[in-house]
Amino acid sequence: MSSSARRSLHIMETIGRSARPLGVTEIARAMRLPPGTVFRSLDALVKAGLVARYQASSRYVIGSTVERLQRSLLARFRMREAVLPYLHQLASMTGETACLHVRLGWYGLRVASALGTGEVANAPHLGESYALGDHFAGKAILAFLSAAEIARYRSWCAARANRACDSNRAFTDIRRQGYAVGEPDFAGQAPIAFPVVWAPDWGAAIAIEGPVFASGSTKASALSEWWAIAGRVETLARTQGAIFANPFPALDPDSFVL
Amino acid sequence: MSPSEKEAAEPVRYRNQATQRVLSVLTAFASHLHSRGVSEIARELGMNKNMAYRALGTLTAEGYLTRDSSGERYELGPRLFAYAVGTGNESDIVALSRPVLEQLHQLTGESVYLSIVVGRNRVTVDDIQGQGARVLRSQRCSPVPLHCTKMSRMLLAHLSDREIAEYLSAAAPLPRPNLIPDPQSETTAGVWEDVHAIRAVPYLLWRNPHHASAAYAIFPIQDSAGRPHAVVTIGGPRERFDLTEIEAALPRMRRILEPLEQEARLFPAPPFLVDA
Repeated sequence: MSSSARRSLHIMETIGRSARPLGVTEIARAMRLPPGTVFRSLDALVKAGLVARYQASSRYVIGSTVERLQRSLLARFRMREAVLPYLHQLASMTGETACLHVRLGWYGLRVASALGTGEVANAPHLGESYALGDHFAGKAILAFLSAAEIARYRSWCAARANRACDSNRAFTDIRRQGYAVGEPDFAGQAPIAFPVVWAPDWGAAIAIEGPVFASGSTKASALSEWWAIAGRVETLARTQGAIFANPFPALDPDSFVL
Repeated sequence: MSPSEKEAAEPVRYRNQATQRVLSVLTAFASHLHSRGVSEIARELGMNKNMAYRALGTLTAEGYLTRDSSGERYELGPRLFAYAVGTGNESDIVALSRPVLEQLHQLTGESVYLSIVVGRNRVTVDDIQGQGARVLRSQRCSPVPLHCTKMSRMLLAHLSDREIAEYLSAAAPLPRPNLIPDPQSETTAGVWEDVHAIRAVPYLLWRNPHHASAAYAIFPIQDSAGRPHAVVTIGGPRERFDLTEIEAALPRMRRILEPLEQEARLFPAPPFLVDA
């Protein structure tokens, strides 16, 4: 096996995880590698289109080939096309961006989105992943897993040492309410996610990712309309098993790390 | 010899070649939705099978590829989800249509709608309201059954015969939620008759027969197989936007729609799945 190739892949990941373009020296320091070695790897990555220079500067960002690879990967979630019209309906109703999140091991993954039609709307990244308990859409998925699976997630969090997990009470509340809410904004309005449950070991959530919900002040009719749309997706999932199949059925959640 | 000692002993040029091979094997999966075999990859990239096999092994060990259920072929692995790279709406008909709606509204000053199939219904998911004291109003987001109204039947007509039959069977007895007279929506035979009439024309010019009604131009947006992505509708009150005015503006409307129609052919329309 080529450790030089592995190093190049790790450099690509370092650039991908960074919120800003990175220079050779920064990468070399972060990875404890000689700058010359990093430069040679970057040269190979640029030739493959996997990283690119940021606006002709000496700093680097992820290249267009990675985006194409990720699109090919997202296309394996065949449910995206089936769910997208429902997301558009929600986005049009609320003006906020509506997204489909699925479970991937102990992570949540945003696989489809319909941009909000309001003056201001979130533009979240597709392919973004997070530990299930770290995001309101992930909590909506997690709360509807079996008690044994939730306990397994807690063990995974504990093994990773850096993650807290909500109490069982919090998950009970989500199950009772039928939705999970995110952090409220300055006006007390929060994003909201509805679980989509059709298989015992897998799940998804439909999230309205902008500030649309405030407990006590959101109209019950609006909430029930959003809920009904998530319910129709759930019905679809139950009757269209092939389209809603997990593309990574063999993935072991406990050993899979992003 | 440890891997690092082994690597240090290799000339830089060979290490770079091996790296280039691994990266080029990864990029060879960029436009492939299905699994790929060693021979296929080796042939495409002009390398021998042993080199391809080693590159595939490196990428599999790193989680960028996985073996498929046969164990013989390779497909992209979830490691690429370690970071997100784009908002990714390049094949989103709603996002693509927005500039077209704006241009059509600018041309006519009338109401413009984008409607899609959601389950068994047509749903207007984007619109620009017309200007003036009297304008055409649309119930944005309100579901209208696919057999009711010309706009809905424009979507229905571009589904396959089998899908239309499934829809009509699931929707029976045909609901009639619309207060405007729409006799063709009342029977299965009426729906089929209108479906055949719609399929015979590239677009529809239509006015409701009752007094003080509206007139419309309805354009289907289809994929390369003729399946429906959406319909774009321009409509206004007949006193200023009757069929004569629509026909006069039609060549310019079609020119505005042409780039969207071409782009929509590049990706498939959503599957039609009859929900409960």
